[in-house]
Amino acid sequence: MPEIVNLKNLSRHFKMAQETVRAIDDVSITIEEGNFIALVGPSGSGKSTLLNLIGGLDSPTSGEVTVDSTDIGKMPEREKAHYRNKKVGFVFQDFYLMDNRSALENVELPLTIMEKPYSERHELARSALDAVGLNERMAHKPGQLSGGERQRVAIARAIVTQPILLLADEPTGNLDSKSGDAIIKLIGQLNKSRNMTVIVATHDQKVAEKADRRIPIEDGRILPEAR
Amino acid sequence: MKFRDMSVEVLRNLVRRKLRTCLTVLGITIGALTVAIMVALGSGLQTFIHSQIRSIADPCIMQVFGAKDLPITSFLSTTFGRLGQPPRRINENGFNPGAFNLRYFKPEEVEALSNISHVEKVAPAILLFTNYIKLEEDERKFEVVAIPEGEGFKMDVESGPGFSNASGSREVVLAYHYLEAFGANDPKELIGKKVYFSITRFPLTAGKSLISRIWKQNNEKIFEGTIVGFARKTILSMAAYLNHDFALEMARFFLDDPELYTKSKFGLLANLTVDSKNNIPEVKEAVMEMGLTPLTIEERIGILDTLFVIVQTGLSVFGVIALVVAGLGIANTLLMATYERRREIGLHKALGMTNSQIRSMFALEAIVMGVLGGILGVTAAYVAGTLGNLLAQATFASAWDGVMLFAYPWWLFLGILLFSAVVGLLAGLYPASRAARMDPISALRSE
Repeated sequence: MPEIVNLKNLSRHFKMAQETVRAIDDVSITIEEGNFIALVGPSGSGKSTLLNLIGGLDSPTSGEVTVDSTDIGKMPEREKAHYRNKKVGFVFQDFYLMDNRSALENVELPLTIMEKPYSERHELARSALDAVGLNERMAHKPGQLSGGERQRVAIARAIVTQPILLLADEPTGNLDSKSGDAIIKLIGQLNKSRNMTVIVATHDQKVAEKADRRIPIEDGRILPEAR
Repeated sequence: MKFRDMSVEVLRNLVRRKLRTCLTVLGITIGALTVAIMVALGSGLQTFIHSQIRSIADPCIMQVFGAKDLPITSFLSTTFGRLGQPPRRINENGFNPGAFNLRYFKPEEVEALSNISHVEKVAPAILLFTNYIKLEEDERKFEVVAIPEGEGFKMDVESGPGFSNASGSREVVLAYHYLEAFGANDPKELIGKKVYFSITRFPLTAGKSLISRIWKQNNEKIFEGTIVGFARKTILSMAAYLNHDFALEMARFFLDDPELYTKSKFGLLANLTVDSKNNIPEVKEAVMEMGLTPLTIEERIGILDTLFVIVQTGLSVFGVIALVVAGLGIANTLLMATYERRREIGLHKALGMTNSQIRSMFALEAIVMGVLGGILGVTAAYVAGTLGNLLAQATFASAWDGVMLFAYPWWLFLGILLFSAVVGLLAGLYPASRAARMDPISALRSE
């Protein structure tokens, strides 16, 4: 399998008062296309920072983040925005849906930013919601949906642009175990059916067990993997 | 993001906080309304006065002062001196400010003015104040303003033969409004009838003692004239136009000087009748070369326009201040929105929106609020102005057909909309740039 993500001596340090926090410290890993990766570690270990660096939401202090043969760490802000729009799908623990819009309109948002024509984005959003099993709830607003359903809408929004990377930060963190299992199962299915590379940051071992590869992280450093 | 989609997004954001948006827009509306009303009122009055002046002023008459500066321009220095300035030495052609810049014309100057090509007539400006006018067989006395022929006022005779120009005649053309005052329905009823003017000698003229002037009899004299016409309706509703000889007779009694307004005692002001208004510039130049100051009708209107511009600008400043304050309201609203919508901004960035798109979105919100306020403001101003015009026509301005107290020139609406948009844009710049610079990660994490 060709490699899709390559992190080389990646570091991300934050200055906090007099202290320097090493959120990511000299990390080097390679992820192959179509992998389902679990970044496992306790709270504050650097999982989210690593996801943000791979997703182009943050820039490294040093090192390289190469995704699909492009070093996104050195990209100008505008190109980074296009990269996030076209190549990455984000799923967050808190869903981050817009309350005043229907499920369909929430899913259409990245396509609107992408400047897809109205009819096309409507069609793509419907099919993404269909893929996550929400074809009956398209007109509902987030307030009318359960936690699991909201996360499904968020997943539909993440995959609607057909990105090469799906980055999920504690996707089951705000869900009960039944809904959480269903969400992880759904992410696993999308990974297999679309050959989409998935990186999930989690501290939940049950979620990690579903991944092809578990990368433990602690204090910003990668620990030896357990396959 | 396409402009259409961004516009939809902007409208959604504005509708989300309806009351706040409405209050912010209301601020702009009040500002725009004030500016529009002030400019419309100024413009309406200006147009009205222009049209009235043009209807009463004879464009072929040019006034000439015997000085280099117009008395009006040196009015302040004439009354108070040049404030805070040391006295200057008076040169050969100069005047002391206290002298009001006025002097009698010399006979050779009158001769030279008459010799300017295209000048048909040089007449002295006649000073005349009357006490009242009275119709024959009628005891009632009425107000009147006596206007000698050739004083620069256009007199369009609507009924009657007008002045015969016969030597020594005593003829009067009355303003149309005297028909009603004298209780006649048809001008024909009054043409040929006698009218009487009462004149009291001006008590400060030289020659006789002041006391004898005030206490002795024969200080009031009644002058009899014949109505030879009625002038078209203008703002000069109390005018009684007198033929030159009649006016001279009255004026000489008024100032108690039988030699007044002759070549040797021509007067302070000359009225030049030019053969065509097209030749006015040429004549004006010739007058200026003589070291005298001409004043044409266009220049009088120009002086009036300057006054209007000053008053209009002064009044509009209040509206502009209101608009700028309302702009601060927009800035405040959007600044609050950037705090409230931090997560949303973070999400938009995570989904691929660029900083410049975020900036444009907030700036567009500000512009939409500004333009919306502008549209409501000018609409309200238009409605208020139309009602004001109807009210004016029905009440105090009923004498003038179709008078527009509030006039809306085409550029006013466009200008106010543009200005409101600019105020909105300027107000939105800081919040927009703040939103654009927001770090997506901390924005997403915010509560």
